[in-house]
Amino acid sequence: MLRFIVKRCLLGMLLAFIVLTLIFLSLHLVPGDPAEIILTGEGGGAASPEALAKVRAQLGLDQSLWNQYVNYLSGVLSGDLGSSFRDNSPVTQAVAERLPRTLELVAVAVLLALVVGIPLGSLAAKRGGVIDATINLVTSTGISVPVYVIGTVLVLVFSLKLGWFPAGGFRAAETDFGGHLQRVLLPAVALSFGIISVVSRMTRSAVLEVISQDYVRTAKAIGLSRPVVFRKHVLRGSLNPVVTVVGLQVGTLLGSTVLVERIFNWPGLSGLLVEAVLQRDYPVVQGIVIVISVIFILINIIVDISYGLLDPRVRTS
Amino acid sequence: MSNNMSENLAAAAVRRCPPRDETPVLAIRDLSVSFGIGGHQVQAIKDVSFDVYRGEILAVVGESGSGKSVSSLAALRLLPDTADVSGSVTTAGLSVLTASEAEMEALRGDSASMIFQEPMTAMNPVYTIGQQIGAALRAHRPVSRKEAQSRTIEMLELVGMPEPERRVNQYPHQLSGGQRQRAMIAMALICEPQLLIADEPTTALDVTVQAEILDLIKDIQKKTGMAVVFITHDMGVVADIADRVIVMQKGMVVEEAFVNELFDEPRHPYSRKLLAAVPRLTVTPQPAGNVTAGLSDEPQERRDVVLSAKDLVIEYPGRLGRRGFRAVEKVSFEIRRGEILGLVGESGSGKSTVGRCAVGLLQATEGELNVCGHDISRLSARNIRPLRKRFGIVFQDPASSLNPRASIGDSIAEPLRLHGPRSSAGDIRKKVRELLESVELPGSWYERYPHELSGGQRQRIGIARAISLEPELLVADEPTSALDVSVQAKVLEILVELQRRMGFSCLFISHDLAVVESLASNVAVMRKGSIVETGSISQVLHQPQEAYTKRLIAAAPIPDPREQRRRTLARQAAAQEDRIAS
Repeated sequence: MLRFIVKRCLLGMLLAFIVLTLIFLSLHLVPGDPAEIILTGEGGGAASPEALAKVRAQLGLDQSLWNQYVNYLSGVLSGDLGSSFRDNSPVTQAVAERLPRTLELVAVAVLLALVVGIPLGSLAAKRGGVIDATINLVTSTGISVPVYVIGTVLVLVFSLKLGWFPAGGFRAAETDFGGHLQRVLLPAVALSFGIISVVSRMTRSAVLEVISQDYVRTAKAIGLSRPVVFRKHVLRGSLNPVVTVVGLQVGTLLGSTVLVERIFNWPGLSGLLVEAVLQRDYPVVQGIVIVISVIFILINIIVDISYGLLDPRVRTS
Repeated sequence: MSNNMSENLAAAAVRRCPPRDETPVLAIRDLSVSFGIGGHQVQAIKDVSFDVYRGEILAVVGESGSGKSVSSLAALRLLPDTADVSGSVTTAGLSVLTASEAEMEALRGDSASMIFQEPMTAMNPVYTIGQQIGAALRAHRPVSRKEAQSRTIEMLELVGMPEPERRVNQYPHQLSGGQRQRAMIAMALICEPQLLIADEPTTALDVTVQAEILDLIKDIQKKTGMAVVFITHDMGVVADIADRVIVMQKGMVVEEAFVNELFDEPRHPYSRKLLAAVPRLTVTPQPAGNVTAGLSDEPQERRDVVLSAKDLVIEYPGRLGRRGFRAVEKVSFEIRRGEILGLVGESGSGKSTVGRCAVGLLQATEGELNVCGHDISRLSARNIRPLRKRFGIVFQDPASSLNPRASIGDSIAEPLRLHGPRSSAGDIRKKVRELLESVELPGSWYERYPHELSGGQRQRIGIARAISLEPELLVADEPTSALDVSVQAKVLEILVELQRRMGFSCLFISHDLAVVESLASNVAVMRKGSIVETGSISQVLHQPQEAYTKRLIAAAPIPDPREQRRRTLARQAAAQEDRIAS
């Protein structure tokens, strides 16, 4: 098992290196000179050659591509993501401040998906009939309604009509924990609708597949009770595809936070990304893309390792 | 055919075993089961009655769809919820059809337990065998985890598992097929049941392993005196294990008899038909060449060689950082024009790999492979394509080797369109009709789909497709092992007839020595990637030189209870000698 984990981690590191290189290259392949954009902005007009050279030197753009690449890599590895074009503040610091907030939304949404989605899917598979059809209707809706609609409806009902939750904003957990929780819940729920539906549908189909396996019949034949058979044999065997789909969905969730953070006025990483893109703040954009890519790779490693934990056949092969 | 069937059904069930003066462990009375499928009821079994007493092994024999598994699953109420059950079933004193769920859970695995056909899928891959056997014990006895573990190890030792202390912590995929079935048996027996239901427990195993498992079940049954219901389709296995036999056909019991009676004098026409269809290994030598192809009277030695393999090595490449797997190690053999070579071996012996290589579906790693005058051992897929039309292949499972979305006519026509001479759609249709008729199916079936056909009919389609281009070499990879014996007999007959008429050479791959004997003139025996013995049928099967060949022949059960008892004793004596020697 240890070898398996080490191997996955090494592969992940290789992948991260490739991704970092691709990000570097893609930013340098984009036509246009960042120095020019900084000096002239959107307005056009021409900057003086001296000013351009100065800015290029400041950004390190006058060096060879190879040198820039080495500087970039060593920077990223030592945790330095450069500094913002706009106010020269370090990107690492901005990301470090914003990232946990976004991850918190995603984590709560995933937790909800597991806690609600797996029982919902199991119920649909076990009962069939009307219950299955109803759950199917609910989850189809959950998948097809866009997150900004769900978010808006939640604000409308629970904040404006019922007044149970604030409509948005952010409180730091350290200073006002209750207020923090109140404000996390609605955006996380809005975010979780889609993934709950996907997890529930995946669980349903996996359970239906596993329930007809020979080993489930064996478990019944040795006299285990129905709930034990279901929990230890059916559900356990159904988790692999569910884990896969959760891993993939986290990527989608990170994307969805762009909208949710906007609706609930939640100062997360996605909000920062949108601002940075609008202002052409390349170092910030690049920094965020790097961080999100690495998170993605990490999640994939975790998914792979959990395969190994869930299925001994994966470990040995 | 249909005449025959109605005659069979008309004949009343033959019952030759008087009821005994004791309470049966399992009593089934007028049991009928039907399943609601797509709005209408399908009758699986009808008015089945039989008893099983303490201390006996009752074999339930029948072909697929005869209802033999359904009646045994009903004994533990393990049928799916869609089943509509009537009649009465009393298992270990409990009236199963009216019992509560809790009563059933207390019964299952305690006083009555079950083992299944495929031990790989019948055990949960994510738990160790120790966990699973322990769960069976802990479901019925108040024992701690630790006690359960030590009882499990004892039980594994009892069922002949090597190194039980180590194996107990292993997962099913880390065991061999025979070991898995031993673990399964340990799981079924850990609560010392009065009744063991064994549903085709040896069907997925090699004959040598099958012999061990059959001996084990007989042995434990003798020691514990439990009642055993043994479900099988194999008359040889029946002869080996049963005290009493029930023959089922189309959901009904047609004959019940003691084992010697049934084999000496089968009374019901269906029993007779079933026994007649079983391919038998002749014990006395037959004149050689009884079924050689009628291509010419030339002696085989003078005919040209169609396939010759010399020191053939085939490796499956390993994945990144892992070594490849050598499936075939320096194999040499020849097939002459019009010859059928039987390639026999157990699972994992590499026989199918050789077959796939012979038709260019796999590249050889080393050695030479000449087929129809071309060395194809290292030809790439592109270069081999023009040669493809000169060989055909028939696969084992006709259900999965035909495209379910293509009509059978289109499946047969595909090689004609790809490789055949340019011809009009009408010509191809005509040719397909001829091919259908040559495998004794109506030419009008062009538009039918595989799911409308029975297994045997599908395999005939597979054969028609393989011979559509009049190949020089046909590779048949276990073409009948997925079929019932009576169907197998028909398919083999068609294959032999076609071979005689068309004169192709054939590499016939099989694990069944009797089948190979019935149609091949020469045979090669493979084991662990090498050929251990090769020669004419009469040489190899009647005067085997190698210990492995002898063991293989001795392990294949034959439909003769007295001979099987003699063999069992011989095996036990040999095992005893081994123990004394070591």
